[in-house]
Amino acid sequence: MSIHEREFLNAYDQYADALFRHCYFRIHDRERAKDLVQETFTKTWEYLVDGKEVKNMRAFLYRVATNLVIDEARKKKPISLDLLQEEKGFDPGHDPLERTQHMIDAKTIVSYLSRLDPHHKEVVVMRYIDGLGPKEIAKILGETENTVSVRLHRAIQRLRSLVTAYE
Amino acid sequence: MSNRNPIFQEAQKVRLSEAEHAAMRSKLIAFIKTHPVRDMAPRRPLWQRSPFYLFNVKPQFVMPFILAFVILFAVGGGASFAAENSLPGEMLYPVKVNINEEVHAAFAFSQEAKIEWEAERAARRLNEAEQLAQRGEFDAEVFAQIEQRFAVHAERVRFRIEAMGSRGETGVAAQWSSHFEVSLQAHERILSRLAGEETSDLLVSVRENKETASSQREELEEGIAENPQVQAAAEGRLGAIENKIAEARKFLERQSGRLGEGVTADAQARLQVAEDAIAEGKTKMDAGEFAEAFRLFQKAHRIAQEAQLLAAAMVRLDLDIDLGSDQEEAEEEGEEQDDADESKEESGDENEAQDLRFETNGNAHLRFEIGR
Repeated sequence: MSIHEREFLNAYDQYADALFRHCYFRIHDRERAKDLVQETFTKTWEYLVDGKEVKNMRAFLYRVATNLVIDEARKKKPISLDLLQEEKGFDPGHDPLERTQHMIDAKTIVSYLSRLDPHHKEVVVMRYIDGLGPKEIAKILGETENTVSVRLHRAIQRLRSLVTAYE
Repeated sequence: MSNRNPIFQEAQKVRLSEAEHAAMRSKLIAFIKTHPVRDMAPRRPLWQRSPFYLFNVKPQFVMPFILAFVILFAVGGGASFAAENSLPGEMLYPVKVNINEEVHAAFAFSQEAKIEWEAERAARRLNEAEQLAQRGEFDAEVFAQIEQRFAVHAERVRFRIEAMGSRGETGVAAQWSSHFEVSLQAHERILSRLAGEETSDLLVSVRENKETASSQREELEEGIAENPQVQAAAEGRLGAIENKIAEARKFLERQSGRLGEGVTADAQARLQVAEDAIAEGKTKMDAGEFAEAFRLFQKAHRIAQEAQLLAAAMVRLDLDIDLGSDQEEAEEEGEEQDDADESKEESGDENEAQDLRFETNGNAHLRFEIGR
């Protein structure tokens, strides 16, 4: 195995899960999310094979993924929250104690996220689920750090109003 | 970066299972092996460069997965690459259909990916038939086999779309139905240009499956009115068709040299028809008639897609195909009259009769009267 192949696979081992998570929280479809992650990596490999350089692998992968997600979102499939309950990895948390303490569970996260518009959702997922900093997000999206911060701020405000509206 | 917030913690629970992670990794290794450095790999032809046309993996017949990779490493990626361009009757063809395509199928995770791949496989069979017909290689048995395989894939597409519709995903199902319908329609026209006796069974099969897809699409489009997300579906479709028009125009620009002025003008005219349908759809949107808007956007998509597919076929097969007429519109006008079905039959037969007359003149490359 060549050095490039090894590095590429290392990138997979490091980032596949995170990218899957990212895609999942944006398109709310586990199977499609898997397709997109796969496509992210194969597209990236093709880019490398073309002789092009990738300076920051993580940012590049997220950029490819985010573009694929945007294409996917254009299809505007209906989001079924009922379907989500069948998903593994979700435990709606029927513990009454948890509920009264307003523990945030994954299903709730998704339901709130699904109410955000795509631009807001994008930055919220990157910041609070992928754990990326505003600078990195700016790099991935090709925006200024300031724009990203403002967008994040607005997104959080929107989320906050959604959450309080339901309490 | 604030990794202690509860959203982050909870979200981390969503992950690929070990099996999923490993499976994807294996597939990527296979992909790496079959996609070496650019200047060594054969160039893929234009029509194969769609986003999902990614995998040239060389697995095994109906065997467990692990064997696929044993063989892959034993034989190497070059052979599977070569197999991708093979035609029925050639040595590597079995590798293409029984191995490459099967592994690709195994890796389509979502229902949508499965539909897309089956539709792609159906189209591949038709492409192969067209290439053979164009070369004048008319082996009856080969064509019979192509027809059989094609029918299997077409049926799978139909089945999966129906299942998707039953699950309430009418928007996506309608979309795929429309996509498959136009693909079959384009191939029907291409095949009838290359018609010979040997291709007639295949042509009938393509036509039948197209009718089925068309009915399925109409049914789903009716059903979409019931769907609570109908507005979102219509908006999505509008976005998609606008992209499609842009893509089709770019394609025509790039190919205008090879297509010639006349054909390019015809194709542009078709795109204009599509844009008219879009405009009509937008009016419906404003009036709140989302189901009707969706139907119009789908129609516009089909018109644009057909123009692009036919233009691509003309380049690929060095063939002339009339872009000017609209089978669908002729059919719709027919329905408006009282004896709807009969009129459809008549206009269809007329066109066929014209084709045959030209064929018997013994001329393979005829340019139809454009601007009908």
